[in-house]
Amino acid sequence: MAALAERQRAAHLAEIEQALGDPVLQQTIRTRQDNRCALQQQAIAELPDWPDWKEAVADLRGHTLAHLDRYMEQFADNLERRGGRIFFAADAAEACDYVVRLAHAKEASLIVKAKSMLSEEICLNPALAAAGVQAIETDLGEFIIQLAHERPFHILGPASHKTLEQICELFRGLTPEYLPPEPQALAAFARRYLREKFLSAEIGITGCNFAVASEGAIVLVTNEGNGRLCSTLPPTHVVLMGIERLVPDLSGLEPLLTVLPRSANGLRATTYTQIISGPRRSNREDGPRELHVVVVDNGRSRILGTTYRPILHCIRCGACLDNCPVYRNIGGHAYGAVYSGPIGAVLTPLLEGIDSSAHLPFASSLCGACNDVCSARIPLTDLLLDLRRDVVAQRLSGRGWELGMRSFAEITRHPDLWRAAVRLARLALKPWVREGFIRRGLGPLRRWTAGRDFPAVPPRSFRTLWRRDTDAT
Amino acid sequence: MERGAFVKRIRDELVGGDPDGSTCEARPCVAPAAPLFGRSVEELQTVFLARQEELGVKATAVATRRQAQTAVGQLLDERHWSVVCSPDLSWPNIEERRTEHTAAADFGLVQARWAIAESGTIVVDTADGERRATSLLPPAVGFTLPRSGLVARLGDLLRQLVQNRGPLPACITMITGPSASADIAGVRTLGVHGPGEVHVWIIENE
Repeated sequence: MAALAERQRAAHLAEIEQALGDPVLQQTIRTRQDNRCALQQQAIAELPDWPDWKEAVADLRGHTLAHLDRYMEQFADNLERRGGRIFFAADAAEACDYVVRLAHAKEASLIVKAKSMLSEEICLNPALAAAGVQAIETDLGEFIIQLAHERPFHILGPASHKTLEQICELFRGLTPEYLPPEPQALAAFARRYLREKFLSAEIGITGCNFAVASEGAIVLVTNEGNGRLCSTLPPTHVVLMGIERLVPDLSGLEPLLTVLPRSANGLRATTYTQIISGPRRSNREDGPRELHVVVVDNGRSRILGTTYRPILHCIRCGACLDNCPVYRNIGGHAYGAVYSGPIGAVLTPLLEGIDSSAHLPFASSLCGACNDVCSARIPLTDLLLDLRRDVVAQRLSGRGWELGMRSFAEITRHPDLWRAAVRLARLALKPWVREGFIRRGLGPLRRWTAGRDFPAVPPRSFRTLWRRDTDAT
Repeated sequence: MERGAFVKRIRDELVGGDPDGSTCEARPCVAPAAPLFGRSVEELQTVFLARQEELGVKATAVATRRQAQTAVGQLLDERHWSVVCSPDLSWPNIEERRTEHTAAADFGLVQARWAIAESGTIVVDTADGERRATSLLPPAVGFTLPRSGLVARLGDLLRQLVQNRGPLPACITMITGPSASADIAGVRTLGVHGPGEVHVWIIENE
């Protein structure tokens, strides 16, 4: 287990190194973060009672999760009453298997997909591809990263790391026509290219922002219209839903749909918000004939019974990524997981198991900016600290690291030992100092300097200076 | 996984982690409600129109349905557009521009029933017999809206949905401005999948 943690940590550090060394990427992340934050702040400033709205979201999420079993039963009953079908998937494999079997039953060769982080989490596209079914991403950002064979860089803007030129290059691979590197022209091309797919696909797959228990209804919040197309044109609509997406009734949508678009994109409302309640009625001319809701657990119920439950309050607004100084420097890919940023650093170890992502709780400065902006008031840094404790308790931090930390604790508790150690370090480390820092340490220090720059020990310690100055007065 | 086992898994975790157990009753969500603007119909209209302008929607207030008909007819003539709309709609002046082929139409014309002033949101629902694709496939879309259908905020609409009806229609769509994306290099582009151009006519005497 410790060996796996070690390998993942090394990969994480390599990705960080790569992100830090890419000046174009660095600039792109900064610009996008600044723009998104400015829009969010503007939208938030319009509501004088903004903190109360977030409190209402937190309260609602807490209440719903505390009674999730009952709301789940209610949702399933009402969905079926409206003609929808529901499938309960204990894990990713069960969820993928259901969708693959459905695709075969419908003899589907093409599936159009709207953005769903859950589908990324359960690796649905590779499962469909292995079964000979093509799933094409239709959210512009997802479409771009599907072409680039990459993971989402941001939970809301999956391609937010791509420059105009890079996107233009990817699109040029799809058509012999000349595409100018101009956003509106590229968007128009994507519209034409994907429209054909919408009209011929047998199945449309979407995620689910919220699910209303009292109505058996699915709420989809989108901006481009691809979510509407996926849930309108194909004869079969499949919804992927995490168990925690429920709200008790329609009144709960008020705080959620007030807070989410503002925290996410700085909008008063997203362009399209749909409340879908069952498949098309028999006397209607359009809309899917079948609605399948796949409710996915995949590690979530296990979190419910722990002190980490508040992480399931998350409504995926992405504000914690946009305000995170660590994300600002390392970007989304260096987290090495589907969910990045502070939410990803907490959620990934809890969903996947801490042994494969023991490095993630440490990918934070604990500055608390994420706590401040969180739509659901999740105490992210508290959860990160708890996870760090788990990493240590499960001895995933590596032997050398543990030894180093224990020695450090011992030394800091004994002033004489501390003085001696500082004096020794000043001499012993001198050969490795470059421009005031040690970037590649020796022995136990190597692990530390792999992810950090260790400052050289100054010629006079703070304690020496303090004694000198207080003696003089 | 079978439903009973799935829900039991959740219940078992809750009993372990939640000292209250599952005895607490459902309670309605109380949202804060600091007023942002007055609630007279004139004020709602002013706010709504201002929002449309910010969103890049061409919105006009007209006195009667007949005036809305004339305005729509003029727009279609100027642009030489074909139009798709609900079969129930019988406006003589748009008859010759009508098409049944939604995917090829230049313009979708939709009769909306409600709108939310605060966010500038038009609400369309399938209970009215309106086809979903009309407001989705054409590159441009127009909505007529009775002024009496304006509500102040989202919460007012949700309360109406609960009060006015039994089961919800298959799909309620709330539309706020043109289809938009910032996925290409962070630049706002319009009409990515849905209509990039939106028109609204508020009918005051309806």
